[in-house]
Amino acid sequence: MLLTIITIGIGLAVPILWAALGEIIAEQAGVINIGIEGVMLIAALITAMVMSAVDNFLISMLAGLGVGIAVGVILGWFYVYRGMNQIITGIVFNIFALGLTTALFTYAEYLSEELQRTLPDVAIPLLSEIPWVGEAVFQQDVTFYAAVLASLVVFHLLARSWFGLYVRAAGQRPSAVVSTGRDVRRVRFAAVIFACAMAGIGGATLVLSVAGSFNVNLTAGQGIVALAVVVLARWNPFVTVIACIVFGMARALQFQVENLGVLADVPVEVWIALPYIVTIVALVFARGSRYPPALGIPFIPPGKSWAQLTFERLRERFTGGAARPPLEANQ
Amino acid sequence: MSAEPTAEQVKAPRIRMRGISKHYGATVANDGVDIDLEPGEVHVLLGENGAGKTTLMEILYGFVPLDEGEIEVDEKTVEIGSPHDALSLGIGMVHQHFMLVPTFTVAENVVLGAGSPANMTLPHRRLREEVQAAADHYGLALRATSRSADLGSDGQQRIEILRLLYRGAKVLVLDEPTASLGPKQVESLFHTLRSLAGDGHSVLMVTHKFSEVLEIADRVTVLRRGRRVMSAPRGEFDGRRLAIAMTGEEAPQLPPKSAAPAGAAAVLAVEGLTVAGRGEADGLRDVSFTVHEGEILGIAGVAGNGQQEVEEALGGVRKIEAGRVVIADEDAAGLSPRDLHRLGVGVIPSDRHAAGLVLDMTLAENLGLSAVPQGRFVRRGVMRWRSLRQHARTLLEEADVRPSDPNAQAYSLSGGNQQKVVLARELEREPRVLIAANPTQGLDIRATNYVRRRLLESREAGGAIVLISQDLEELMSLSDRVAVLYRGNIVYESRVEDLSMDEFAVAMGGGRAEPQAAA
Repeated sequence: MLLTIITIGIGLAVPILWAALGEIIAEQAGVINIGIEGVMLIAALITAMVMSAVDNFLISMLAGLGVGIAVGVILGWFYVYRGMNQIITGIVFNIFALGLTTALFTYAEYLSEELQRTLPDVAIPLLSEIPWVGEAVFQQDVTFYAAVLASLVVFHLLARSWFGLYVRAAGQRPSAVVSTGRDVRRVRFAAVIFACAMAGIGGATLVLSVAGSFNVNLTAGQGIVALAVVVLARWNPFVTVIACIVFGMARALQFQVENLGVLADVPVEVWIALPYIVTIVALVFARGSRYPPALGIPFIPPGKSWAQLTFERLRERFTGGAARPPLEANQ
Repeated sequence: MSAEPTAEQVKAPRIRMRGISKHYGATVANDGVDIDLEPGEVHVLLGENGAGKTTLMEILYGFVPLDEGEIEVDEKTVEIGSPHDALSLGIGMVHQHFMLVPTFTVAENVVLGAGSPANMTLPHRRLREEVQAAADHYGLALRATSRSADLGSDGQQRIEILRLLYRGAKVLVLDEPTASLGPKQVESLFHTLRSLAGDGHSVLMVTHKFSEVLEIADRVTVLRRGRRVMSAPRGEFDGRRLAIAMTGEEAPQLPPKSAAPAGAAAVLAVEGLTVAGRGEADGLRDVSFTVHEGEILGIAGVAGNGQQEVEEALGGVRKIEAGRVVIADEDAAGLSPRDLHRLGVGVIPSDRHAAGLVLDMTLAENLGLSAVPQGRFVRRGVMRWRSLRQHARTLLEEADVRPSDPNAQAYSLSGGNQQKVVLARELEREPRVLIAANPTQGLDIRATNYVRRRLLESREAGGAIVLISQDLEELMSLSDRVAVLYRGNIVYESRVEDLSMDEFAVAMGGGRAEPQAAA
C-alpha cells in the first residue's frame, strides 16, 4: 500500500517539481515569480488543446514550453524592466490566467474528457528490477526522469556556470553586478524566462502525465505549492526533488483512502486538504530560511543617480506627479 | 574647453577630462571641470560633500552620462556609457560602499564581471588559482577561498582593489576609501596605493579630509560647488591653502574646551552590557563604562564593531540580553524609547534618514515627535498645530536651519540642515544623557562645526554625552575620555590627555593594548 502511495506520489510530484526547479533560478536572481501558477494553468490549457488536435506528445509538450517562454517574456518585462511590484503583479496575473483559461474552456469543454492517451510509463532496464524501489521510482513516465535530470542541470547552472554566478549575485547584491560591468536586468530577465519555461513544462506535464484532461483551475494551487517547496528546500535543487515527492505522497493519500484502515473514516476532504496543510506546517518550520536579500526588489540601474532620483521626487511632490520609485532599491 | 595644454606638459596623461558639466535639473553638479591623470601618480580629488566629486567619478566610471565636455583616454576621445565601457578602457572604481556579494568567496567576488553570463561553465579551481596568484603578486593579503563577509572592511576593500587589477585596470578610482578604516589599515592602504602607482598604475582618490591629501597626494585637485578651484602638484599646497580652497574661507574654529569638572557625579553607568549580534555582527559582550555630568565619552572603533549596538541599546530600540544601565540612579535597561526620553535621554541617531527624521513629514511635525507624546501641543487629545508651528519656527531660527519654514518637508533639506533639525529637537529638552552617533557624518565643514559646537555647549551645561564617531579628529577634539570598541568589547580606554596614539591605533585593529581601566 505504501508502495502504491509512493508510486502515485512521485507521479503527482512531477509538475510541481518542474515549476519549482525553474523558480529556484528566478528567486536566486532576486525575482519571486508568484505568477508561476498562472503560467502552469495557461500552459496546461494550450497543451491540452494541442494534444487533442494533433495527438503528439512531443508537439504538445513543446507547446507548453512555448507558452511558458512567451509568458516569461511578458512577466519578465513587467518584473524586471518595468520594475513592477512582483507580488502584486504575480497575484494579478494568476487571477487573469484563471479568468482567461476558464473563459477559453467554455469554448473547448471537450477538453474535460479524457485524452486518447497519456504518457506511458517507461521501465528502466535493470533498475526497475530492484525490488520495491525499482517499481516505485523506475517505472515512471519520461517527464519524471527528465525532471530529475533537470535538477542536475539547475544545480550545474547555479553552482558551476558563469550564468549562475551572476544569478546568485543578482539576488544577493545586484549593485555588485553593475559595478563589475554586467547587466543585472538582463540576467534577471533570462532567469524569469527560464523559470516560466520550466513552469510551462510543469503545466504540460500536468495534462499529459497526471490529469489526462483539462478542467477549470486544473492547477489548484500547485504553482503556489512549488513556491513553498523552493523555500523549504532552501533553493537546493536536489532537496527540491525530495520535497516535491513528499508533497506528491501527501496528495496521493486521497486516492487511497479506502486502504487506510482505521483512518478510512476520516472525510475525504481532509485528505484533499492534507498536502496544503503539510505545506503550511513545513513553512512554519522553515522560518529560518535565508532568502536572497534582494528578492522581490526591482533593480533600478545606474544612469539615474541618487541625486537625480531625489530631484524627480521633489518635482513629483510639487507637481503632484505619479508614485515615486523606491530610493533604496539598489541596496 | 578653453584650457590648452601648455608646453611643459610633455608627458601624455592617461586620462584627460575636459570641460565636464553635469546638471540635475536646476542643480549644477559639475561645471566645466578639467582634470588629468597621469601614469604612476596618486591624484587626490578633494572637496566638501556636494562639491561634485562623486558625480565626476560616476561620469568617469559610466554610471552617469555627462551633459557637456569630453573624456580622453590615452589621447583618444572616448564615450563611457556604462561601467562595462569604463572597465574595458582600463578604468576601475572602488565604491565607498563596497560592491561585494557577502556570501561569495574572495575568488568569486574577484572574478565577478570577468566572464560572460552566457557562459555555461565556470572553472572554479582555475579561477581560484588565478585569483590567489594575483593577490600574491600585488601583495594583497587575501585568501581566495575565504568567505567575503568574514573579512573586515579592510579585507573587503582589498577584494575590490584586486577585482579591478584582475580585470586589468590601469586607472583605479577610490571613493572615500578611508571612511571605514582604522589608522593602521589606512596606513596599509596607502602603502598599497603607493606601490601600485610605482608599478605605473594611476590612482585617483576622492576624499574630503585634507590630512590625507598631505599624506599621499602627488597632485591634488580641489572642487567647490561643482567647479575646479585649485589643482597643484605636491609641494605647492599646504593644509591651510587646501581648507580655504575647499570652503572658500578660513576654517571655522571651535571654542576652547574648558577642563572637565573634577568629581562630577556619574549620570550614565553601563555595566556588563550584552547585546546579541545581528547577522554577521558580533553584538556587545560585557561592555562597561561610566559618563559623568559635563563629560563627553568618545567611542571609537572601526565601523561595525558594536557602535550601532551601543547606540540602539542605549536608545531603547535594541534588546539588552544582560547587564545594567543606570541613568541618574534609575535602572534604565530595557526601557522603551519613550520612557528613556522621560528620563532625559536624547539620541542623535547615526542614520538620520531612517531613525532621526521622518522624511515625508514637515519640520514642525518632526520637531514635535518626542514632545507630542509627552503631552505638549495637545489639548484634550487634539493637536494644537499653531503653537507647535510657532514653537518649531523659534527652534529653526535659533538653529539657523534653512529654510526655517516649519511647513517644509524634511527631505527637501540638505544633510546639514536635517541634522540641525535633529539636534534642535534633541537638545531642546536639555537632555541629561545624549547619545550622538556619527553626528557629523556626511556634513560639510560649516554644519560639522555647528554640530560640534552644540555638543560642547551641551557638555558645558552639564550633559553627559556618549559620542560614537568614526572621525578620530572629532573624537580627540571633543571627548574627555575615549574608549575603543573592537568586536563588541571595549579594548582600550583612556583620558584624552593621557592617550597613547600607538596603543589607540593598535586597539582599533583588534590588538589588546592594556587591561580595560576600571570604570
